[in-house]
Amino acid sequence: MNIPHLLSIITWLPTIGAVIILALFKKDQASAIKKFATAWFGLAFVASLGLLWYDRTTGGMQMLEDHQWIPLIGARYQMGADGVSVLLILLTTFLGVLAALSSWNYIQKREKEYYALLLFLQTAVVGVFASMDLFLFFLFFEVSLVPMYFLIGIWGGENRLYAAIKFFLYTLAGSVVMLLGILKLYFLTQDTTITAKIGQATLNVVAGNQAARNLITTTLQEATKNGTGTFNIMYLQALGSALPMGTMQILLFFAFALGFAIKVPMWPFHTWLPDAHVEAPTAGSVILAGILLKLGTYGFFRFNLPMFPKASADEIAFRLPLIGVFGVRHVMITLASISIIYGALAAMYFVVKRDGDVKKLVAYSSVSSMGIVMLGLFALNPNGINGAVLHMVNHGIYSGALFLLVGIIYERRHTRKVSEFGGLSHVMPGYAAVFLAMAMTAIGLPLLCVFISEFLALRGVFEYKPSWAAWGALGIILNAGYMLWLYQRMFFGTIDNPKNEKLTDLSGREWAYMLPLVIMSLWIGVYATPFLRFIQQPTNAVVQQVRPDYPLPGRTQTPERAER
Amino acid sequence: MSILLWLIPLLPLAGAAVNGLLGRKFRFSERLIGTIACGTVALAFVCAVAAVVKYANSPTWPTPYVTSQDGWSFTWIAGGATEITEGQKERAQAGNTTSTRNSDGTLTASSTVKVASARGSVLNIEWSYQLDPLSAIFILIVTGVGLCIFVFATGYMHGDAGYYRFFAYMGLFMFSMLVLVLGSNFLLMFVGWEGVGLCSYLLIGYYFDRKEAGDASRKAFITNRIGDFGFALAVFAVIATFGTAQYTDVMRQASAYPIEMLGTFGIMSWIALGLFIGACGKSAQIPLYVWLPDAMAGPTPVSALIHAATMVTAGLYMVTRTNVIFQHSQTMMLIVAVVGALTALFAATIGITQNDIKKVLAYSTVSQLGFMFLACGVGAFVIGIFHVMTHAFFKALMFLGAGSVIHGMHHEQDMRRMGGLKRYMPKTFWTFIAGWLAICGIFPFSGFWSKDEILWRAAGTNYFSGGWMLWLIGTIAATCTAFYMTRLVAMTFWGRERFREVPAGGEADEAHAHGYDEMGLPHDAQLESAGDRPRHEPGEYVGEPHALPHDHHETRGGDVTDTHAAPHGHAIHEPHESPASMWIPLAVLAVLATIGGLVGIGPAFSGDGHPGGKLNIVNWLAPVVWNPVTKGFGTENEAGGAQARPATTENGHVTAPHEASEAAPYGDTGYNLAHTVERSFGSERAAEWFFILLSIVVALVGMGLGYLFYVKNPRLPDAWAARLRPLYRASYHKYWIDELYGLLVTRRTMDAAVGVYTVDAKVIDGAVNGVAALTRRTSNATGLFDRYVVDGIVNGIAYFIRGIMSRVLRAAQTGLTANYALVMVLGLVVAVLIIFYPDIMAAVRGG
Repeated sequence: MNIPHLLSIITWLPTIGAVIILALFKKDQASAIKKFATAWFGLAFVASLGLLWYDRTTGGMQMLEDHQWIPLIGARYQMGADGVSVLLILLTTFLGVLAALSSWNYIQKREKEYYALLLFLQTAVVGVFASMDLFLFFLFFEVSLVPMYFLIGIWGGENRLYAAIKFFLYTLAGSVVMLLGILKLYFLTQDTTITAKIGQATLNVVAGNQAARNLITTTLQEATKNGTGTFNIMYLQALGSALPMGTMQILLFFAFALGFAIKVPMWPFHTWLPDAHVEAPTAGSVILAGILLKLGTYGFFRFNLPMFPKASADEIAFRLPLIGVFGVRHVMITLASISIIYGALAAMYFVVKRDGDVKKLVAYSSVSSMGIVMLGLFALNPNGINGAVLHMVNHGIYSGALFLLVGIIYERRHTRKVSEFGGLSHVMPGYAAVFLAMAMTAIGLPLLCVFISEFLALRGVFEYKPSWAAWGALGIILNAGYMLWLYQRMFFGTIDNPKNEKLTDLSGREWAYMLPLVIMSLWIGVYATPFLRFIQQPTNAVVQQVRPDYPLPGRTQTPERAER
Repeated sequence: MSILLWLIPLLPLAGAAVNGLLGRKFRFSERLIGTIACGTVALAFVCAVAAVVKYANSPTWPTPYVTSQDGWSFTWIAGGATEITEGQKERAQAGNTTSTRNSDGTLTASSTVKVASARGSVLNIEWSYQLDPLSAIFILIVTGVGLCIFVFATGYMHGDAGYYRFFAYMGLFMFSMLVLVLGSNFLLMFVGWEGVGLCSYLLIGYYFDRKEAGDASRKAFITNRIGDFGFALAVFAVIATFGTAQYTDVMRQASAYPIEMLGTFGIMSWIALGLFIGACGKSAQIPLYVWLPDAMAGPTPVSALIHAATMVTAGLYMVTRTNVIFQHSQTMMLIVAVVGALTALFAATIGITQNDIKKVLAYSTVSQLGFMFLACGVGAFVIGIFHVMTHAFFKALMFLGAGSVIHGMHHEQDMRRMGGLKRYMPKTFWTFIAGWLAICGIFPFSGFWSKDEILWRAAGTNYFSGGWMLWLIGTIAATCTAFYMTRLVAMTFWGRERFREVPAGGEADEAHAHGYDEMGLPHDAQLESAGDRPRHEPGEYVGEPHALPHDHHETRGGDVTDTHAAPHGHAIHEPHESPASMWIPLAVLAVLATIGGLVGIGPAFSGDGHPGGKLNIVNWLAPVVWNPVTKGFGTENEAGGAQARPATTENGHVTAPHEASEAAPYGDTGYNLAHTVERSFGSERAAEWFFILLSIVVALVGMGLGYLFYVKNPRLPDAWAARLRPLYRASYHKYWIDELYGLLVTRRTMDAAVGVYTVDAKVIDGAVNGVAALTRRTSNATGLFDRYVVDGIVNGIAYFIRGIMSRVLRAAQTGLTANYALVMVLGLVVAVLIIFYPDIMAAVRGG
């Protein structure tokens, strides 16, 4: 089954909803607005389920769309998704519903603008995952900042302006550098000395199937006709592997890497994240942690690895006194490892401290978790990358859930200080159970989703260098340390704070948005294979780009079979 | 059979799900909850028996039966392609040897999964169960002993508000434990491994409003996590070496690898090390044993099921399951044996001075687990598992007995407040006696058979030299065991009825004085287990200092409906016998503890090998154990002690030099106590009898000492405690290990957390904010520049035009035509001069 324009529908449906809200609803119809918006998010989710017909055995880019857009610079409206995009889009639309549902009570002012912005945000994010054109991608990538900026800046906490501006400027600074890289790449597509070296085999690998290959061909024909370069992502990936290794490729790698590393965020570019999380409204935190951070790791997966394969796999580019020879890959893996341990320790600070902020703890644990994704990506083998991609989804599930849980208690008590709680199991057993399930997910208990992805990511890293895997595993011990301690301080013991005595357990609506997350966590944990099948082919393609000699099963046949 | 194997773990899980998800909502009665929980476990037990009987009678025995053979499996994790990166050197060597040794392995023929290619493989972790002699024993222990404990718990937990929750956790535990022992690959073992860890966490912290329960549960989980760190890395290494995690494939490939002698630490040693770190965590061995004594904060049935009979033996299961790998590393065998022996002794010495009845049993468990690891380390894996089984019987019995005592004593755990209970709780007493005799190793109780053989095998090990030292340590530990167990029985069941007395001060009540000193509060043994006030990591936030927890009793189970509900504090409770739901399981376990050891009768009683064929646990398990001499599984080691023993002539020397490496895979291990004894007695059987008698004598000595100290002359303990005060204090305070760890690990980690966050806020975010501030400053400066310089110039020009030029120009606007004409002419002249300047200059020069 192939629904025409499916990706465009999923992308633009939220915008239509936003326009309807802005145009048809009055300011004081708050209740109608939130119900309509939630329903609309539900609609978008249902629409995105069409992506499940992605052909997992063929792989490559599917559901393609191609339209003329700005012929002057060769930018086209091209959409397409591989398995990784499919999972991330589904995650986005899934979390969108829950985020909207969780805002019903939390947001008490300017509901109209709020839900419109949430919908706009979804368009931007889905657009990022669905773009097949780098220019279009960049547009969505940048535009996604705007709704988030307002979500934090208007509906945030006390220090919201500081956090919003910090978030906006920090990410913007990174993407400006990336823009330079994009421009350079664009001009390289017009450089015949390099484009001549692009082999058909490489194009076959990046495209993955016949339709995608045809798309590249027509794009190139259009570009030649208009005398422009091209922004087609698949072509750029093929270009990257033809690009000779050298300063140029490394500079391009870091131009992209900086933009994405800030978004991920990797240590030491992470400090905007805790501030943004603490100030953002619950739904904002859910989207921020669940999806916006994935724009960074998705960028690494989609651009840095396949476009600059030689730089990504590089281990000898630099030399420093005392350290000796090291390469780009070492830099990335070191930063990732530091992120893991550092994020975990920083998170632990908020339970060691008497009145730590639960939300900040979860924010720092995200830094740690995204470190695992980066570690898995730069393992540069199928296990590692499969684990990393799945961990993006899993992190979306569990960190989204933890932020929702923090939001639930915040709505009741208007505080997030650990010291204010204790013995909550007595009054909120349902809440305690869900929190336990999610805390256990976060620390990687088997049969819950994170275990699968952490196992695969670290397994991949072990294949590269066992000692790196050991660092990653150490971070997981620390995760268990602070999560359990947090749980103990919040839920165990007797209620010693009289304000907590009258707390009510989860309401029906709260169950409605927490249960799906618990179910997803269990589902992926118990039977991960269907999810992994989505990302297997795209991952193999990336590995083949980066490490052409990797022993992939049936590797040698793939290009030949594609020739016929 | 596949269906049965799938049902075994799923049944308890279903029970747990029903109880946990519906029990609260629909207010299930205790009877219903208990029926569901016990019923599902009983069904699982029936399934387990059926599966094992079927398997034992099947013609393929002892080939492991994996459910995927019949299609009962699914691909759990499709991990994608992998590359073989570890152990290539050994792999190459193994490749050379497989062709010649292939015929020896009994497993090779049946295995259907393809060998990983030289460089790459595809990692598909499947979910399937494996039944082989080892998992058969374990599922019988887990479901059988588990059933007894479940029934006991229905009585023990009677009246507890969280009844449904308790049985949900217990059911979840059964599921995890059964997956652990039934899983067909390392990942499934890990699933069970972490699953039992979670349930242990939940059940230790079951009384979650008590601070020490929360602390203990967290400590247990995190200590186990440290062990799991090793386990996880070992699993990674297994996959990186063999390209698969499936036991059958890994074991088959591994058996071809070369043995790594002392001094070489190759891939097999690394894998074994990682696995053993995991085993140390789960099975509470040095240095990761610290969580188990604290875990006694959980309800007593939990202590019996999880922290004595089943979960803590998971480490033994793991080591035995991977014995091929362990036996490939002489170093690791030595480490396992030494750690086991030291733990056995160390924990036993602590057990001597503890006063909390559950703590004594906890340290006893640690000690007994040490014995089991000692057995594995000296190559007697089968005997180790045998001891797991007998220990499950007698230790579960004793824990439940202790639970019965605690129940009868209205949640008093301090043995100094017991005494003379024999009169009040005869059923508990007599069943407890069976457990006591079993653990002391008195013929023919179950513990005797296993413990005796462990010591004998330690004395005769050929895996490394110095087995006699391990034997000596083990023997001393066995003496201590007999001593402290006698002490426990004496203090609890015999002697004065001390529960009628107000506690006196003095040496025996050191805990009181000490508690007063340390906490600044009077110690009350009624409220806390004496001497075991929870210790917090230094600097940890422990909440507001609160008064003594007066309402302590209400939070506990049985009290709510106790007919003896008495005022708290120091009032005297009349002890009472426990109900039938509690003593019947005790009776069943007592029978097992008495005769359960007969399934492993040693060769000394039959003359040739272990009698009974397949019914003898030693013969049953033999096919699981790899034989380093033949490089095959279980083909030549039926003869008990003969396993891995080099062929010796009468004078005890290895027969021929060129066969030495074949017959003695670990080289010449020097002096061997068992062989020496054997030579001096002239026959192996006589030597075995010598060790049997010796171990009985040792047990009797320990028991005699205990009797002397605690029954005959109750003043002796005080006198000796005073005489050996430093030793006594060290043992009493558990050698201050907890404090040491708190100082070295916990405290330092917290420091690191604070340090990291400070750096984060001050340095990294400081830099970001610094950049922002710098930008703001610069923009201020440019603003000023803009206002005064750039704008100043613009304004200056405007002023110039408006203020100066306008006057000049206004002056020029005279309105007279003549003036304009003059200006025009002047302008023309200037224009001509400028335009024709070169020509004019040329004309001037030329002219």
